[in-house]
Amino acid sequence: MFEKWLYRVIIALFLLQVLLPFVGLIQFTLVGGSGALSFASFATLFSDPSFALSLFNSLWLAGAAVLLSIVIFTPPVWHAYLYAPKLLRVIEAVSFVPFVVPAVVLALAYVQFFSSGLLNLVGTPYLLPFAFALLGMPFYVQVFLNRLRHADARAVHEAAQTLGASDVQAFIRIQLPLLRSGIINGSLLVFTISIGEFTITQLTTGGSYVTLPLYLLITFTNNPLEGSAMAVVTLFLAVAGVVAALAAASGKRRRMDAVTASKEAS
Amino acid sequence: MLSVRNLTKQFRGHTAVQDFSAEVAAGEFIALLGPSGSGKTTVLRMVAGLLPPTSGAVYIGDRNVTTARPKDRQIGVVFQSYALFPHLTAGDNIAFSLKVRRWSKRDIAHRVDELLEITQLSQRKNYYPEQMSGGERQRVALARALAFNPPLLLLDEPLSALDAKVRVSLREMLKDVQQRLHVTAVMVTHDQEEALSLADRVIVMESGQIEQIGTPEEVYHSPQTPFVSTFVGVATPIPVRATGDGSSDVRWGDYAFPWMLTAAEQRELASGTTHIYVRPEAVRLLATPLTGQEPKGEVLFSMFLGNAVRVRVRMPDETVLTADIAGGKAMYQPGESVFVQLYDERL
Repeated sequence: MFEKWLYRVIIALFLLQVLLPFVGLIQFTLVGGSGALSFASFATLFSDPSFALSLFNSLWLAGAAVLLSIVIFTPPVWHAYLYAPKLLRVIEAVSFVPFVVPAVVLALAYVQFFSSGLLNLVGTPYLLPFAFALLGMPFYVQVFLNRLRHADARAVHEAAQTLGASDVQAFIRIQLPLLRSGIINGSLLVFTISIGEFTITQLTTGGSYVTLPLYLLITFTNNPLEGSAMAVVTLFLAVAGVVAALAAASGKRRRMDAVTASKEAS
Repeated sequence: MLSVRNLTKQFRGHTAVQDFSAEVAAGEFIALLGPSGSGKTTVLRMVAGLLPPTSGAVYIGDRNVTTARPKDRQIGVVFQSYALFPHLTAGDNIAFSLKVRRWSKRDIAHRVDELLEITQLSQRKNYYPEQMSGGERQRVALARALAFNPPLLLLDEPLSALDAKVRVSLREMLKDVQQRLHVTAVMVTHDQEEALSLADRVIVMESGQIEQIGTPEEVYHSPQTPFVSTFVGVATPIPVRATGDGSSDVRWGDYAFPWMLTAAEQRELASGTTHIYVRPEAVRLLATPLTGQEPKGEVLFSMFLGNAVRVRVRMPDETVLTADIAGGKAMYQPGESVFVQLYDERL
């Protein structure tokens, strides 16, 4: 009995420490100004054209980072997993580098390398998708590798080959659907990291290119109420994203269960 | 039909397969039998084109396919893990090779239904692999490998992941399908019972080399090497000498008994001593000696096997013999004294 209550207290404490800051934020946003319940801060936020622009900037940068991750990381990891286990160990080790190198160091390296000559890209947003993809690399590679290992990808690829498929046919018709969940989950992580990235954006563009995190900082500095409204919006976007991802993941299972049910009924 | 010539595979200095040669006739069922690490799966993968050999050649009919890609070999393969396509239904898994070969929709539907019926899976056509049992998945893998009418079927430990009862029923189905479709089959297995019951011929492998090629009866009753004797079935080596009386009997200690020797054993015997390998069914336990020569041993333990009782008996020279007493009724107590008669049923 005592243990049961102890578990409940521990879980309650855990939930409190997770949820309290958000409850405080929402409470401040809704009643922080006049002491009365008001949605004015949200109205101000959504009527600000800079908000829409920063949202657009963040979305295209994150989208570009996701595309780059899929194109750059997927083929070598897949190939190394199937055919070159030694190379895979090297790729795995290298993929962890952005994990241990602080974003500031990465940003300063970018500024140094891309600030002169033909590659004079500092101050523009065009470096950012590459930088975001690099930041997301450890997550993308690990998630994709987990899927490869779980899906018995090598045997499945060999099976497709023995059944008469060319390498390209086997990759497109079998491997891509097989590994889709790994690619999607890895992409979600890269997207999330990209949407929330602040340090590299600030240092390589000098604050001239406003993304959501930069907009959040600016508004919070100028108008705390609008800034917190922005934080609440970001929070709901994150929750919606998680719900959408979970729904997408369970959708296939529901379809398959429906097939079973209809077959058994007939 | 399949000719494998001097196939060798080395991995960074380690020889996984050494000089493997075998001829497989059309319609034959061959089992590659050996323990883990004996190189049997490596041979299978080289034949399938999934692993390039270091040297040697693979012929299918008159065609040298040593360097051909797997897709160009026309070989059906059943993988140990089945390797079904999880996003495709059983029907679509089976249809895959036919779609790749651009068969017409009508022909594909006909062939898929035919194979589902042969493998008793008609009710599972629209099920995904994860909705099926291990035995059903195995049958889908078999149907998929046979869909495009390959002349040669390779099976890599196809029944190893299944429980005992399903394994036995699928073993029978596998043999039935192979004979009905007249497909040549090569199966890798470490299970001697599976190999002996399914195959027309068995190739026993150890440490990358062939130990013996023969019919199940030859491999079981006339093992050519000590390894085959002990790996295929249970066998106890005992040292014997010639009786010296001109008969074909051999002598173990003071006990002389008739025994059929292989040519190698006969050569060894001529120069003194050789080892014969005694199977459990060749050992008879007696309460009293028949001829007065039978040696006395002490029962270590006995265990009930269902259709027989297996008894382990320690002999005066410390050899431990295994005896299978058919009928399964007679139990022996540890410490009990018994007389041992050796009886070669090949004679």
